[in-house]
Amino acid sequence: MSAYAEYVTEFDNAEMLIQCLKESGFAEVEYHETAQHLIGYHGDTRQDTAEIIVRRKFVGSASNDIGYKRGEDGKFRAIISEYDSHTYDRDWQTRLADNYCEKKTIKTAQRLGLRFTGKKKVGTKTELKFVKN
Amino acid sequence: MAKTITVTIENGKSTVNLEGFHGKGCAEILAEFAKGNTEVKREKKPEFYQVERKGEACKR
Repeated sequence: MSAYAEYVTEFDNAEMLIQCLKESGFAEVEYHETAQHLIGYHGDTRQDTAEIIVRRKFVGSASNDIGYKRGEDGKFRAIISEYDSHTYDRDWQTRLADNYCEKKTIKTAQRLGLRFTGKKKVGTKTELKFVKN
Repeated sequence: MAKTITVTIENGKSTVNLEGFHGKGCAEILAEFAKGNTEVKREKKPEFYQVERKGEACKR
């Protein structure tokens, strides 16, 4: 049985996080108002619970569920098994965080009435440009 | 001069760079991005401290 580990994130918007997870390649992502138990690769119910769950069949052939559990601060903690953390590692989590950050930036800009003028990739950085009319 | 906002994202963190803005009235833009993003680094440019001229103030 592969133990789960928790990773601190800055994700606080469930809808946006689900969208990012889907864009990262997961065909289905579940959302539950009440946290549900994660399932291990043997089909065993784990003690760990999460509101946002990627079921193991969408994660990998010998994988466990991946979960995101909302904390008291409103931010989600990623719950990823030790086995799956080799694939869904820090680099993957960083790419997910970058995508999330990009979506939040665009949403904020829209709220402020800023006009989006372009996106540019510079190495590992993503630049988003806006104009205030 | 056009008022442009460049947001640079790396490692899940963002940096906001404002150009063409003058005065403290524009601080609200930084504040909004700080609310919406993982992390916003703030660096005030000399323009920030310039006195706003009539007609150039940012709308609140």
